Formats: sequence, C-alpha cells, structure tokens
Amino acid sequence: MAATYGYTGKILRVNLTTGKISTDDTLKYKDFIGGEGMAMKIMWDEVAPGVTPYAPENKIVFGTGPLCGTGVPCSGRTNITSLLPSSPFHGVSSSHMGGYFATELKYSGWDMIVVEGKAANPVWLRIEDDKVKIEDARWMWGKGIFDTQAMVASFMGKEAQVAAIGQAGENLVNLSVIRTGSSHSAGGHGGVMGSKNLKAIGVKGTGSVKIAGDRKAWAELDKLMMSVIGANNQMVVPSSPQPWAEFNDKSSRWTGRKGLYWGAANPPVETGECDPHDMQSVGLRTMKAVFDFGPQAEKYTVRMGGCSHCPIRCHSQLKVPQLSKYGMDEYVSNTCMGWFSPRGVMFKGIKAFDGNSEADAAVVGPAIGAKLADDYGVWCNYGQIGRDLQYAYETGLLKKVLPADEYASIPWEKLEKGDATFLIDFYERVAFKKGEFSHIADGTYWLAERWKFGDDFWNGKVYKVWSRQGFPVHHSNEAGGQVGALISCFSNRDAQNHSHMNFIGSKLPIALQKEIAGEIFGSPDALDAPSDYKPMNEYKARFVKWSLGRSMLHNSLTVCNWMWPMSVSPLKERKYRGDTGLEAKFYSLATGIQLSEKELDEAAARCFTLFRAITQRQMGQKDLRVAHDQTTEWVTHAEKGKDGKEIPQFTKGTIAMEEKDMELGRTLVYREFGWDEKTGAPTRACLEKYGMADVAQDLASRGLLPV
Amino acid sequence: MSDSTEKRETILSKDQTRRDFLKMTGTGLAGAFVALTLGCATTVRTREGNELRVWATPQGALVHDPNRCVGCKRCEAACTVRNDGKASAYISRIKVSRNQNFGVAGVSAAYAKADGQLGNFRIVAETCRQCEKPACGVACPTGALSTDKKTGARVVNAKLCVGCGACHDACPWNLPTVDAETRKSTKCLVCDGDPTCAKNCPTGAIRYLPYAEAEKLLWGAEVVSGATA
Amino acid sequence: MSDQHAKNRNSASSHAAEAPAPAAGLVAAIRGASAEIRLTRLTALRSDFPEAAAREGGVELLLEESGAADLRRMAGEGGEAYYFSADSMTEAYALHLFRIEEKDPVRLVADTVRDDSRIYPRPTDVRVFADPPFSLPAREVAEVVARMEMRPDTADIKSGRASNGALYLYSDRFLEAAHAESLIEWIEVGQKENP
Repeated sequence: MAATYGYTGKILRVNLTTGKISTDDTLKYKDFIGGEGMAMKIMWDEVAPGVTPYAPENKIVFGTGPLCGTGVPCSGRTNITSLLPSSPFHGVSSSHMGGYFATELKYSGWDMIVVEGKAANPVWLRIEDDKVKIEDARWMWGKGIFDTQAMVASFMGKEAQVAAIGQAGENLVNLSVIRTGSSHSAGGHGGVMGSKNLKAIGVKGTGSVKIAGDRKAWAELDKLMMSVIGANNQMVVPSSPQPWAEFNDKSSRWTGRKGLYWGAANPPVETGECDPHDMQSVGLRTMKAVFDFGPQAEKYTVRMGGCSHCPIRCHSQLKVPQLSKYGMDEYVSNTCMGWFSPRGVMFKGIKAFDGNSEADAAVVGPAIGAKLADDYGVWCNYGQIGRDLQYAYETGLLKKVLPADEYASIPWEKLEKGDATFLIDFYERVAFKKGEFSHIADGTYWLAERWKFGDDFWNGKVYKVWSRQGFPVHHSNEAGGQVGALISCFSNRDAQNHSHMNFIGSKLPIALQKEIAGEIFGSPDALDAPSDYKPMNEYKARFVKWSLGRSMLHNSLTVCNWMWPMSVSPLKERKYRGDTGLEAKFYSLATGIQLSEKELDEAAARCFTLFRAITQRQMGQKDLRVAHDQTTEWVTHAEKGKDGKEIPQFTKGTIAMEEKDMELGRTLVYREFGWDEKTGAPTRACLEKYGMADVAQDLASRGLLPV
Repeated sequence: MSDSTEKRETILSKDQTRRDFLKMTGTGLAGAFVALTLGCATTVRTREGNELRVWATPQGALVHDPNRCVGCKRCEAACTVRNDGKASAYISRIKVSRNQNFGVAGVSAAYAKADGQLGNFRIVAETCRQCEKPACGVACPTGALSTDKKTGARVVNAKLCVGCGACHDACPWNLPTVDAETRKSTKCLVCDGDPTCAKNCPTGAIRYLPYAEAEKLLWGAEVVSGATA
Repeated sequence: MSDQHAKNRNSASSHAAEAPAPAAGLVAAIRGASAEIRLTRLTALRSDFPEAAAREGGVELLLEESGAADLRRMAGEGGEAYYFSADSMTEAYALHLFRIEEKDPVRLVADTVRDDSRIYPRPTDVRVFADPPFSLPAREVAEVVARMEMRPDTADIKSGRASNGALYLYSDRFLEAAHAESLIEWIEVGQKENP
C-alpha cells in the first residue's frame, strides 16, 4: 500500500455474527474528512432506515481523523456514531470521548473501526497493530469499566488503551456510555455495544501517523496554535486580575494564578500566574477543580488530566479519601457534567453528610456519583436525568408509577437531607435495571411516554428540555440568542456544540467580540451581548452554519470541539484574534491534501447535509422544520422578571426567543446550507453540489426529496 | 517511607550502579580509561585484550518530574515529528505512553492504588540518562551508537544500525526502540542540545539539565525523575 | 516562568535605551518594583533620591525627560503619583494596584464595578474583592457595600442577588436593572448548570 499521511489509510471492519475481520480503504471516504463525517457515510450506505439500535444490523463506528495522533493540540478524541437508543426515532447520532484511545488506534494502523452483527457470547476485540482477534469476554461480563480495562490490559500489556462498557451497557440501559481511561466517556451508545455482546476494545500500536509536510513548518504551525490557545472552552481571559492581563472574568476557566496549587500533589504544584507567552504553563492555566467545585477542591487535587496531545487539562484528578468509607478507591477524575450530573440527581442540594462539612460534601458527593457512573457506565443525557427525576418526584408522579414497596425501598430521606450516599442506591438501580424506577434511564422521551409526563414538564423552563425528542439545552438560547438556539435544533440529541461557545464564552469584552464576529461572519450583528438579544439576521445564520459545520469538522478531524475553533486568542499583540484557518492549515500539512479553510468548511457542510439526509430518511418525513427542528414552548415564551411582569423579547434582561423570529432563523439557516427553505430538507441541487446524487436519488425514491 | 528511601540509597548509589553496569556488560574496565575530549567514543583495549569503546561525558540529560506531568504526551508527538517526520508513541525517545495507565510496574490487582491514570494518576515518564557507560552502545554489534560531537548524547547512526534490538535489550530501561517501520533503532539524541520534548511540555515537567545536575536527580537518593521510579 | 520569558513580556512596549544619569537610578527603582508587581510612589522616590528631588522640576521632570518609554504615571489624590513599567504589568492591572494604594475601599469597589459594567459589560460578584489582588477582609467588603448606599458619589452602584443569594454590584450608568438581574442569575446559577 502506498504511504498515507495523516490518515493511516485503513478501516477495520468486524462482523461479530460471522467473526469476519476485514480491512477497508479510508481514502475512498476522504470527501467526508474522517471520524464523524466518514461514519455518516457508512451509516447512510449500510444501515437501512427502520433498523433499531440494538439490532445486529445496526453498526457502531469508532472513528478518528487525519489530525488525531499527529500531536495537533487537542486531537485525542474518538468519535462514536451509531443509532441512538434514547431517541424517539433512533436517530443517528454521535458521542465522543477523549482520553488516549484514539491516538493508540491510529498508531496501531487504523483510522476507524466499524462493528456490526452480534456475537453469540460476550467478546472483546483485541487490536495489536494489524493483528486483530475476537476474544472471549464471558469472564469480564458483569464487571465495571475500571476492572474491565485492567483485565484487558493484563492480557495485552500495560500499553493497551481500552474502551469498554459497564453493567449499564451490558443491560441495554438506553442512557449508558462507552468509556476509556480514568474518566473519558461517550454518552449514549453503551447499550449498542452491549447489544452486540461486545464488552471492550483494546488497542496497542507500534506504528505512527506520518506528516506529509515539512517538519519545521509543522513545528511553526504548532507554535502558533500554542500561542493562540486559551483555557478550557477557549476562554482567553484569566479568572482574576493578573499582571500580564488587560481583562479578567471570575467565571473564566483560566483559573491559574500565584498561590493556587494542585494541593494533593506531593509536593503541591503551584499553577503560577500562567502568562500566555509562557509555553511551559499552558497546561497549568486550567485548574478546573476549583472552577467546578470552588476553593475547597484545591486540597483534593492531585493534578489535572485530559487527553492525548492536549495541553489544556480539563479533567480534575482528585484524591478523595472519604470514598474509602464506601469501599471505593479514593482516586476519582472527571470534568464538567461528570461532576454536575450527580449533583443534578441530588436536586435538593448536597449538604453536610457522614461527617463531611458542607464544603467537603460539595466535593465528596459528586465524587461518589462520578465514580459510580463511570464504573457502571451510566449516562446522564447531559444532566437531564436529574431534572427528569426532580419532575417525577416533586409532582408525586413517581409515587403513582412505582409499586408501593419499591417506592418505599428508595432512601428518599437521604435525597431530602442532602446525603449524597443516595447516589449509591440510585446508580445501582439504574445500571442493573432494577425495578420500575430504572426506567429513569430510558431517556427523557421514552420515560415521559411511560410515566405520562405532562405538558408542564415539557414546557417548564426549569426542566430545560429543548426538544420533544427528549434532549436538553446545551449552550442554546442563553448562548448568543438565536445562534445557540438554532444550533440546538438540528441534532438528534443535545447539540454538544461548542464552536460558538469557544468564541462567545471567551470572556473578552463584548465590543471586542462583536468586532471579531464582524470579521468572521460579515457583520458585528452576528453576535449580541448576553441577555440583550436582537431579532434574527443573516449573519447569525452564517454563524449557525459555521458552528454546526465546525463541530462536524472537529469530530471528523478529530480535534476537540470543546477547545476548537480558535476564533480568539489571549494575545494583546494579536488584538485577541485567533486563527480560524488553523484546521485547514494543519489538515493540509498533515495529509498533503491541500484544502483551504473555505474548502474544508464546505466538506464539513457536505457531512452535515448527509447527517441531515439520514435523519430525514429515518424519520420518513418531508417537512423537517415541523417534524424535527422545533423546540419546546418555554424557549419562545416571554420570561417574567423579578417583579412578576413579562419581559418582552428582544429587550434587555431576557433570553427568551420569539416564535416567528425562530422560524425566520430556521429559514435563513436552511438557505445558508442550500436546503429547502420551507421544509429544511436537503434539495437535489444541494446534494448534487456536494457530490451526493445517490443520496438525492434515494430520498426521491422515498418521496422525501423537496420538489 | 524511610525504609524504602534507605533501600534506594543503597541500590541506586552512583558507584553501585556503575558496578552493576560493568557486570551487565561483562567487561572489566581496570586500566582502560583514557582521557577524552568531548567527541566520539574511542576504542581501547582492556587488560584481557577485549576491545572496548569509551564514552565522552554528555553535556546534559533529560529529567522528568512525575509530580508535574499531566500525561498529555505532547512530548512524544513532538519528539517523533521532529526526528522521524511522523508521530508515534512507541518510538518516542521519551516514554510516557507505556506507563500511562498502570505505571512502570504494569497492571496489578491493586491497579487502582498504583501509579498511572487508572490508579493514583501519577505519570512516570522514562527518559534516556545518556549513561556514562551506555549499555546500549556497548551492546551494539555494528558500532552504530556513538557520542554526538556537539552534545555528547549517545546517538544512533541509522546507516550502521541493522535493527537487531541489542541496544533495546541491553538498556536497563529498554529505552532505545527499534522502529517497526524502518527497522532502525531510535534513542534520545537531545535534539542538538535543545530537546523538543522539554520545549513542548506544557507544565515544565521535563527539564534538560547539565549532566552533573541531571545525574544527581537521575541516580541519587532524592530521585525526581521517572526514569528511576 | 523563565527569566527569559519575564523579560520578553509585553515586548510590544519595548525597553527604551538606558536612561542617562541621574534619571537612571529612578528608572531602575521603578522597573525593579514593577518587576515585583508593585507601584512606586512619587513621595517614595523623592525621599529615596533627595538629590534628584532637589533639582528644578524634581523627580517628575527627570522621569519625563528620561526617555524610558515603558514608564507610566498615574495621578492620585493629594498630589501623590504612582509609577510603573508597562513591561512588567498591564495598565489595567496597574489600575487595580493604584486603587488599592489609594486606600479608599469604597472608591476601589465602585470604580472596579463601574469598569466591569462599562467594559464587558457585566455585574461584579462582591466576593472578588476578598480575593487577590484586592484582598479586602470579608467584613470590610460588607461595610463598603453598606456605605456605598449612603454616599452620593456612589449612587450609581446598585446591588442585586442571584436566586442562590449571592450578592452582585453593578453601575446603572452602564447596565440597566433588568439586564443586570438577568446576567447575575446567569453568571451565578445558569452558567454552572450548563457547563
């Protein structure tokens, strides 16, 4: 085989029904970039509409992209695409995990793994360079994800990186994850692995990813990237005034400062002031533990962890000795929702418990939850599981749907008292599908159907459900008004989109952000100040398309959409500008395939349009505007101020959107993509422009193509 | 704690370790030393008549701090892109990946309390010590290993290397690694005195220190580098 | 941070050529203090450099004519002035130090809040004044907030509370009440629920 650059050139295909292992050529899919884009192509080509997530005919694609493994900052991510069990129509969907699995997969010579079929007995997949074997996993079945990883590594050697499911995935819990390493989980597809009797995938590679371009040019580009990179979520302003900084914002994740330590390191490591010009402190600036928990987390912090080749360490790795009391190992790691979702389950708050002061309990409680969820492999539907529980509990519905003895067996008094050991009971019921209660993890749509949630749930702002499909807000209308709101309308799960957040959440002054928005999207009006939103315009639509495309691009390259794109930088001398062309520059140098920023964005739009086509074919609906893209009602209803009066939309002090304006927004976004402006369905012209005449043909044959 | 420190002191005291080295190479060195200027290894004869290469002192060596390391492996990618035009963990001259999840000792039943990302989070990288009497160089059957004129690092001459792996086997830490794709050995060459791994470490966990200073840290009782952990 | 790097910080403003004596000592003193992230008071320079102070035009003129382009001067109350080198800290940071040096906590809080409300714009969490570089004792922060309500020169500073009880301040010159209230709730509660 000719040498390939960026790509390893090979896709591993495994049929667990037949045991057949084969090799496919990556580059035949290269119009779809990699990772998520290529996975969409495979799902379109190979998984027929009507297939259900747990059927052997469903496929699950573990994907990396051409930048993964090269050392590009934040390029350690694995994209996982399959049908989503929690979606009402089992919409195709992607979940992602960081960690070290993806780079190891590349070094073993594979860009992707496509798994289909169902093994007769539990198995695990063993990949050592080009040696691939399906191994017996009957002994591993029933184990948690931590032990499973150790068991696989005990067979393969300590270098192995492992992706596995826990008991939740085995038991086909809809809300379950696939997880790797200390704390990197991809939410939503654990059950799909479980349904295939696939417990784990272990990879170990002695190979490499080759760089096509000049080594020095590569090093220079990397240096540029390292200078424009910010803290987690591309926040480029420190959280407290610093001698080097012009700006600061206490809610920034750039928490590094003098006097702040990884307090449980031995000896403690000071983050220092983290001047952005100092390359040796880039990894210290995001001290996420104090951001996620507050100052009391400092003493628990061993270090900050994260993913391959990423200098921004967003996972707090804690030593929480109190966990020993519950028979758990005291080391626990996670970030963001990993801590917040157990807190969300404890919706009455976590108070002092088991001898922990309230301040310590605020760390110990989420740590218990994170450890359990990560071992069992339970997903939270981006925090929605807690709000679902809150609704069912507080409305008294739960008492009605649960058998009396089951209801009585749940330690509600702990929930009421803020005793986080409630979580031990909670996650066990969920992971082992114990009783009626365990349907709490069916996913919001299925749960609401089963337990008959009322409109007060769907339309209650407090429950944060974004779509009747059962997924919640995720950087939606509170993030750039219509920009975030529209971004949240196109996925089959929470949007998981940070293209816009990594810009508008930078913490730079709004005037400066608007200037930069003007340069990227053609007008400063693409971006409004927070809680000061103006009616929809075409520039916001461009911002939306760009954000959707970039997220698809990042999940295809694969780089982290929780850091990329680099719209802004922490550098005054760059006038705080980033470089939105970095993805294309890295792509061209890595692969030797020269693509401009615009061309790469077009390739991403192709992938996103294909995703749209799959969704349409699965739903069997002509009009996606009506059938798919709508929000729940609270989003477009005026909010009430403290005085109880409604705050009119598009005045200061509200994030509420307006119905007609949102419909205009949909129209403008459809126009940007070249989709049908009435129905939001991809048109023949659009599909043909992207070289997907076959897709147009298929949709036409089903009567789904707009006339 | 004090027990293990004492043990380390005896095991890792400089002289002791050097003796271990000589044992390992099976060669008596008495009377074989010659004065050296910084430069290539010189061949001398021992009393027993064996040919032996004597090595100039390196200028410096890398030291890694497991307490500061965040395990991002940017060092490994930077090392191999600079030196090989490709990114790889296996042939990286600084070894993080292999110890990342379970530490140097590897998987154990007590993994959750041991070193590594699946344990106490401690990440131990192994770096080449540019040993005074490099076992890799002594073991090389083709003389492919020599001392870099500028830095004194022990470097592989790819033209002479036959990829037999004797260097890998001889090194007590198995640091030299035969590239499976080129069949040539790779080992730390300190990048002309400006090691790429250190430059690319985002937490300052990797330092390139003058040899005497590095030696104290790499071989002494107060060991901070992962290389000796 | 490496020394090399410290020297290069804010290199855009570049070191001027060494100032000629007798300004050299003054400039060195200011740069030295700035490197340690401190301001230098005019009164301190006068007492440390009596000869320079005795010259016509005094310390101020000497510094003005020193040609040290990195030096900045901030005028305080009662004729006091503060110097710093922009190579070691930003003007924004120096302004924080200036307000701290002026020892008028009410003014410090009010002016900082006004800056936040004007520049970003955003309401200010009162807890930040207990943290570095301000480091006001928590009790003093509470007193300041109470006093501000009575002082006419801080009549524009308003307070608001998030649903979790956290207290924020803003200046109604730059932020309307409804807007500020919405931002307070978002910063304090909403943002944390949407990580």
